Amino acid sequence: MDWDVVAALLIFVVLAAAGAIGGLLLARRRLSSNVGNNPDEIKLGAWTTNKLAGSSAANALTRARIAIHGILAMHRQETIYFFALQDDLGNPLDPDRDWQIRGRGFDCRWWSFTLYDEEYQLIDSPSRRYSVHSDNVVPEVDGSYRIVISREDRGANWLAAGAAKKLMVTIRLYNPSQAVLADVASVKLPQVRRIEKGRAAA
Amino acid sequence: MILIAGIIAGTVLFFVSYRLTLNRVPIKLMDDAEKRLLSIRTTGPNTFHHGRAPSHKSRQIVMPSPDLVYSSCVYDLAKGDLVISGKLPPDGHYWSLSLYAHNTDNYFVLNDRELPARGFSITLGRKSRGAGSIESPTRTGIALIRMIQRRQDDLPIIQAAQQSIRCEVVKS
Repeated sequence: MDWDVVAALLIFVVLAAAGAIGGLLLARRRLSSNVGNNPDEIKLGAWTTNKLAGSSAANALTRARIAIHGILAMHRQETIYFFALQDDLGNPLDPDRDWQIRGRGFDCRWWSFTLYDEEYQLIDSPSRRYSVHSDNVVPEVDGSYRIVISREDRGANWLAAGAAKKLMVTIRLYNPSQAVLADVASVKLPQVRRIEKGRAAA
Repeated sequence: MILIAGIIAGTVLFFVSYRLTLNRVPIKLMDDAEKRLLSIRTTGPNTFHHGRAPSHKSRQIVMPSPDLVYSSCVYDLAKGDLVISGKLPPDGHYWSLSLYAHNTDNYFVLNDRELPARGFSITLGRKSRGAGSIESPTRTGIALIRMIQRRQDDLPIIQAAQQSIRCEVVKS
């Protein structure tokens, strides 16, 4: 046996296998990260949106990420989605703390805020209300809204964190206006910040 | 020489492996979604299942919208085209029909604003046959009809629209 040939083949196989494994690991890493290096994604404060969610024009990474995090998402002309896993300062939305979302309505037909757990599923709530939306939101006197995320009941615009280990908030804009579709970065998104536990939103 | 060949092979396999993984993920997850949706009905593919607004107990798909009532159909065009028809809830109630290919692409959507007559009928097949005919990029996929339930009072209206949905296989 020619050991030089064996060694050469071994080197070839190791390098080829390293390439294949490297590609697999990179794909897994990019699919598991929340946001990052995807030209289809736009980061706006605490919020992230994907301008090609559900579309046939989506790149392979977008298609795979949407399949994992929101399979059967609607095309953006029907619904635009914004996601927040962090507050405005980049702190993860720890369910043991209280969080406030403060903003105004959106230029669309109908909008909603929904809270999801670490498995992207709805969270058990004693009120059986899983979302705050344009029909059930209780506005402030100036027309703005304040939504509170907490494990404990925080009144009218409360989203229950229940027993979740991690949190994600989703905004859905149904039938967004042409202006929003033309420039999704122009949407005035609400602030997300931590508030003192048990304190009413302010 | 063998080192260069190995580096080239490794580089090619890196990109092939990366791309194959990304392409495989949506198809695998769509397979799972179709199986889960089929598991909650007894009638098999090409029939609509009418759900209620999701709760924390709903686990068929991730990120369900709690404000939407879904009617879902896992379709399979192996036996011919499908004619999907029905009525919409009264004016002002959001309604949409979305068609998803087996790679998860939402390749067709129709909403109530495009249907002032409050009724619809489409033919879904592997090839487009003109107006009202939709070409599915894949043999199997999912049709989803969504309606917003703003309040409990909306339920009878939504259920009436759900019960009007028809899905029939026509030989092509």
